[in-house]
Amino acid sequence: MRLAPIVAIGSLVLLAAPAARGQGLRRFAIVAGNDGGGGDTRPLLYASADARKVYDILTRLGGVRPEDATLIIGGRSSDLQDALQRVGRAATEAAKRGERSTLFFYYSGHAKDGSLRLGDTRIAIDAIKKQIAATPVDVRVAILDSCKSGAVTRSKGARRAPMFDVETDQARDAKGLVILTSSTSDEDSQESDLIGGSYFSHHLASGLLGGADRSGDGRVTLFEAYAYAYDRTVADTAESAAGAQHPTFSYDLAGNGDLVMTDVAVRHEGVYLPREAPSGVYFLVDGRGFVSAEISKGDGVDRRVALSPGRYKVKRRLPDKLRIGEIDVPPGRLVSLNEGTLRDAPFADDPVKGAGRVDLTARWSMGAGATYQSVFAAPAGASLFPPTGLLAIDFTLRNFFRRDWVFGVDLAAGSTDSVVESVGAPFKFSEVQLASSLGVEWPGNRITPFVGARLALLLMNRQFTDDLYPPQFFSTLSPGVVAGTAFRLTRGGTALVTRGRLHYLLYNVDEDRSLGYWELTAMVSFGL
Amino acid sequence: MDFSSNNRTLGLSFALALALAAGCGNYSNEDLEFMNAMPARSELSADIPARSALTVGNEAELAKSTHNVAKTFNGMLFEILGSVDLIRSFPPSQRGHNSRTWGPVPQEKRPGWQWHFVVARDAANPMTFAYALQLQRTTDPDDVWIRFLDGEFTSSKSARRGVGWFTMQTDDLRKADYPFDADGAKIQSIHVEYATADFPIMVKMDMMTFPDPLDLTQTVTTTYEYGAQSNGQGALKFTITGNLDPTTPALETLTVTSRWLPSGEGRADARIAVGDGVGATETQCWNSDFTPSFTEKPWGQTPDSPDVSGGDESLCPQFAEF
Repeated sequence: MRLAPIVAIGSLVLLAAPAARGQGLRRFAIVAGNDGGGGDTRPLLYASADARKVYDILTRLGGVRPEDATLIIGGRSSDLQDALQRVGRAATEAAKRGERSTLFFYYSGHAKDGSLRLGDTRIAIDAIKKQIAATPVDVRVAILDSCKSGAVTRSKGARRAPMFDVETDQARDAKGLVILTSSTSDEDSQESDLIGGSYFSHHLASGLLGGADRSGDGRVTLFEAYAYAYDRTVADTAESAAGAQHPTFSYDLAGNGDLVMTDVAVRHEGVYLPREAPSGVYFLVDGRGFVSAEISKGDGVDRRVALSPGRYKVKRRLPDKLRIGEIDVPPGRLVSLNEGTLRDAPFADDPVKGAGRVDLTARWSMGAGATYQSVFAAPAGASLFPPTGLLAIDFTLRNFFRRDWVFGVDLAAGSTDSVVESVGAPFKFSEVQLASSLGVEWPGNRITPFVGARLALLLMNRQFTDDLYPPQFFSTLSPGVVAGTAFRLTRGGTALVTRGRLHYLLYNVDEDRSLGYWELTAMVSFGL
Repeated sequence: MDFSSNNRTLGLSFALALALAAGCGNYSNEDLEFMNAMPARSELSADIPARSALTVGNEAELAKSTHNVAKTFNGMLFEILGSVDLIRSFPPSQRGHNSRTWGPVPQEKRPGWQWHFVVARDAANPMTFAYALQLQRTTDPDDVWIRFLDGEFTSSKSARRGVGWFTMQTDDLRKADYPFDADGAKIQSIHVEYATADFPIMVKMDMMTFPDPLDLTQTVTTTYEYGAQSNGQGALKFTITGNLDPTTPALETLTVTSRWLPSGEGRADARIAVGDGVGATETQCWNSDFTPSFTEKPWGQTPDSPDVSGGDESLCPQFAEF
């Protein structure tokens, strides 16, 4: 279902300050993203990535000079407050020079119980709103992409916007505060592995890149961007399990005008969708398979998409097939997309890989193989703990604690014959390992490298051929690191796994001695 | 998927694992080196070809004496070193940089008494170890111990081989009213010196005993000297000094020197060096089945010495000198 823009600005007028023609206008940006929200929240996957994307757009197309832009990834609440204070000081200085100023404040991350959550720190939404409102700039635009962020637009000092209607007349200078939120006060803001970001920020970014330029003047205004993001977000989430997500918009402004967010024409760089190009939703996909822009194009209109230079795949989805192709964007060039360069393709050839193609369900696998272990500091170490072959069984659980995190439990056992050289005592050495590990992997089509940490309980025993000596045993916990590669053998999850381990071994019977050992393992892993 | 509860589980798991991080066990190469300071019974015992049950009746009398002396010699070593072997079968109770201690352990058969065993490594010469088995009453202060057995061992480059000695003496324990059993009460001291680093292996045992445990003024001194070549040739020299002929008060010294080949063939020369019968000798050679091949016994046949002179001395086996 396509939802028409529902927010009208009525008499709302904003600052007439397009980047290209803004004389005496200073634009500041504070862009923050934090995947963590404290112990009682689950980590987000794309909040930081969304922040980086918005930062890139604002500094590249939004008229924000790099020195006036602050990017805070994984920061604390105090970082936000400090950044606001810095902007306040800079804006005051700008005002003394007769410059007018605008602040873009973007936050992507957790919000809960009336507070923004930045890792283990938090700041009340009302407090940050007050601090933004108190920042001595002329216009403040706050964009919050977080769960239940619509609560801020219910707060005192802001009003829900009436039905949407973009005002593009010449305006008189405006002052005040505009707030965009990704969802209402009782909705969750949803992320998508398919697009590799939150729905709202993804569509907002696509809009700012040019998708929202309904007027076709090469400038994307705040209202155009909001309308585009609203429309696309609602449409994309309408059928989701969490239900439709409705961005909100509120304002408390005086004045007249339209706030230009980005100027997609000024750089004359990117992809141009000509009027004659078929209507539909165009996906421009980067080399990693993530959607850089998702542009909804109507009949008879053109769109400029201000992408960074690079090579992109283009996809347009039809009811029964895909139309796909590739396009190169050289620096400083606006490249027109020729429909004739696209070809029909089945859905299986969808160039959009993103994270959506990754199975994010928690799943078990089991592996069996052989390990060779050798203690460093030979021969002294070897005489104590001889090199040993072990048979190993692994059980691994993926995507349980976090996406691409691999939790493993493994058991290995082996034995060998050796001699204590110093006394000439032959013995049979036996070892059992019970270990757990936690790592991260980077799934690829064929090859999946992984690294992690491991904690092993070692149970070692030796029986001497000579009855003169009693059996000896040693048990300890041994921390270590593991790295390796899984080579996919079948689509069913069978893989050949090779890995190496480095472990620390504290030997403390005679005296405290720090030993280490390495292991090499080859095994076959099966999905369960 | 809600990861937060899973993360809490993970945190608890690691906390539990860290709580169990301390290593434990008795896995030690150095323990073995300390244990090696004490000789094993098998390393010092006299290795003489065994006689079969069928030949016992025809066995040459000095071959029989040699077997009996070897049995006594081995038996004494087994008594002393058996307890050491038992101690060695347990891991030490305490480990120091240059020491290991077993015990204290209460003696089940002697309530009120306990023992400990201490092995110390010479810091200046790490190949040399000194050890002591000591006893005390369980009520004694921790640092008051009574000497019973002590020794020293210097290992050679090869494992479990070297030069050493140990002495067991009962005087101090006797003064402390230690409750010896009947056999123990007869022993005043045993001193053993040995060299096992290279062939020939040499073991010498000096033993002083009380024929009458109630009369500590009368002692018998017995000396055993055992040697073994790498080819299995062996020798055992047995010297006993005491009042062997109780019909007179004089002390006698009897020496028997036996040698044998791996085949069993052997020769013994007995001589009374001091006391009644001084100068008397007996020489006997025997075959591989221990039957006599040559006997020279000038004093003739007696009930305790039934063999008579005879045979060809040239048939006696030849031995390399030790």
